[in-house]
Amino acid sequence: MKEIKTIKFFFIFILFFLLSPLIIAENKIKPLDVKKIADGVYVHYGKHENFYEKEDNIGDIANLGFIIGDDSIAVIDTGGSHQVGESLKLAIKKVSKKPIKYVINTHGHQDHVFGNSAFLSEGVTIYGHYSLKKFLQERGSQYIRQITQAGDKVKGTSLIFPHKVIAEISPDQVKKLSDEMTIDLGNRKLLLTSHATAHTYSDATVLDLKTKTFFVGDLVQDERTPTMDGLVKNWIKVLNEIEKIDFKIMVPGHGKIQKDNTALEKTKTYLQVLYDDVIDGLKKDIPAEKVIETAAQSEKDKWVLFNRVNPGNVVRTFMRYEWEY
Amino acid sequence: MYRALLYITFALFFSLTFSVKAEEAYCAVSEECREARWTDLKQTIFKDIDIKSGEGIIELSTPKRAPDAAFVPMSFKTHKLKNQDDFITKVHLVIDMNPSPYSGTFKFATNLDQIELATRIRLDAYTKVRVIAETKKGDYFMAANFVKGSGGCAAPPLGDLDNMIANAGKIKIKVKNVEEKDDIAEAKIMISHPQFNGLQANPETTEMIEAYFIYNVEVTYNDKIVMSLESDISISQDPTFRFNFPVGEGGDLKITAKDIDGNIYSHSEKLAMQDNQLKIAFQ
Ligand SMILES: [Zn+2]
Repeated sequence: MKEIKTIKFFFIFILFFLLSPLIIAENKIKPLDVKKIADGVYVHYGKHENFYEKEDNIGDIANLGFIIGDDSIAVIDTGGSHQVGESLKLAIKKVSKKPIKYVINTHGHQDHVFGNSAFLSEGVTIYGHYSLKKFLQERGSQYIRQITQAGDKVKGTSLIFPHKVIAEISPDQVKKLSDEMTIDLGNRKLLLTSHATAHTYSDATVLDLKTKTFFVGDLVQDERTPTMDGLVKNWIKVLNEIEKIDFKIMVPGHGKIQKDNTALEKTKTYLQVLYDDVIDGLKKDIPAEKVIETAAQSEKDKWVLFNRVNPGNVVRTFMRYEWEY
Repeated sequence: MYRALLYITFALFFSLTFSVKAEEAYCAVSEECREARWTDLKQTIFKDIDIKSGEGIIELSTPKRAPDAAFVPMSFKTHKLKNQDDFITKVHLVIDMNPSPYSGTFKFATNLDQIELATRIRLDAYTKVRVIAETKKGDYFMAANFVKGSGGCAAPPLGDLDNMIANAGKIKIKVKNVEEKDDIAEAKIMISHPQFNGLQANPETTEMIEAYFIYNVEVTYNDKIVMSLESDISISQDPTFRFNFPVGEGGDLKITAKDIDGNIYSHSEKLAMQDNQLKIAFQ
């Protein structure tokens, strides 16, 4: 009797050690890789994968950043799960011991806001577009469903709404800054701007006035195919506005950092082609399912995940303008 | 002490890894699960009716992956049938994993040897989409596709809520001749309607928006039904239908749509041949 027990115990013991790396992997959160791109400005590059799709994808697909002032730190976008947010927090703490006081969300997409919860324990104030709360509320049931479906790997992820809203200002007004539109990290001011409906109806940008580093969220994308979740024509208009802004480094929502407007122009070109092709299809009364196959195909080779992202953009654009033709 | 800890860790590990997944997640990967789901649905909806393979009778066309799960284009087309008794009079639409799987029944003109219809549907989870054709003499033929797409039922409405409600019931008709078929025309019917399904959240209040959708559409041509649909919550916002109908020399094409709030919307257009082309006649 005694012997059997021992064997059983031993068996479980062995199993435990075999499985323990898996158990530990579940709980142990590693700091994200971050790169210093300017004095006191850091970026983490997200992977070009489909959100939550692969077993090991926990929503680390968007570019995230943080800016360190003399007194405090601001985080720009928090990643696609509580876990990614925690990893970003660890990465920040490795770089600086200053308090993390602000989180700024560039828009309401999952891969940019789902990590917000990880920063609540720091007592942060979360800033977002004046419509960000509405955007998140509208998508609440869909987002919660997505989190639930992803299961344990993103356990603890929840929807956190912004505490403060960002005002909308034109580029001309940027010069006459008012304190309401900037947050001060100590000898370092960040200018926050909300934009009209473009990529989504919750897009905001962050300009670090010290280094002229410009976080534009998904308004500009590099490499990864832009997702059109707002209004394609408006989006082009907003890009025409923000391209006037004087910056040294632009951080797009996905892909590499930019020294000039190359990625902005590339995003704009894609949107224009998408719009033109969909309108052409509507004018010729071509059914949606056929337009999906042809619209913006000339842009295909310039982007990653094109076949996954472009069809949805086509359908939504088609639906928007269907009644006008 | 140690042992208890190990047991707990072990149990925890197993419960994490092998916790029973919801049917939904399981059916997304298991053909067996999908078959079981269909067996249940078939029994509920069609009882003991024998449903044969639709090969050579009806073709269903859907994308393999939904471009946007709230607007999934789908269409079906029947092959040309010779025998009057084999003409298809109804097509049932079943979306296995949607909250209300039996999504609609289309009826068509009884004198059509070939039927074609296209519309857009919502998908709640990876699912089989099925069309079951019913013939005049009572045979049933099914075509089914598996489509990857999820969240389309809870997806937020596209556009401004107030605008959508204000425009509910606006109807637009487009017609054109079908090439190489003298007596057949194609109609495209667009109905502006938010099609709230009860699963979407109101962004201002975060409460669920009450269901408000079109459950019946009837299209008549010179007072004869050419297409009708009894439907549920699976038809996308701003329902659109493209279908063929026998046209003759012209006449009145009339659409009547009813929603669950008791609204009846209707719209009609006079069609006439002009230079051998079917057009909407302007008086
Ligand atoms: Zn985005």
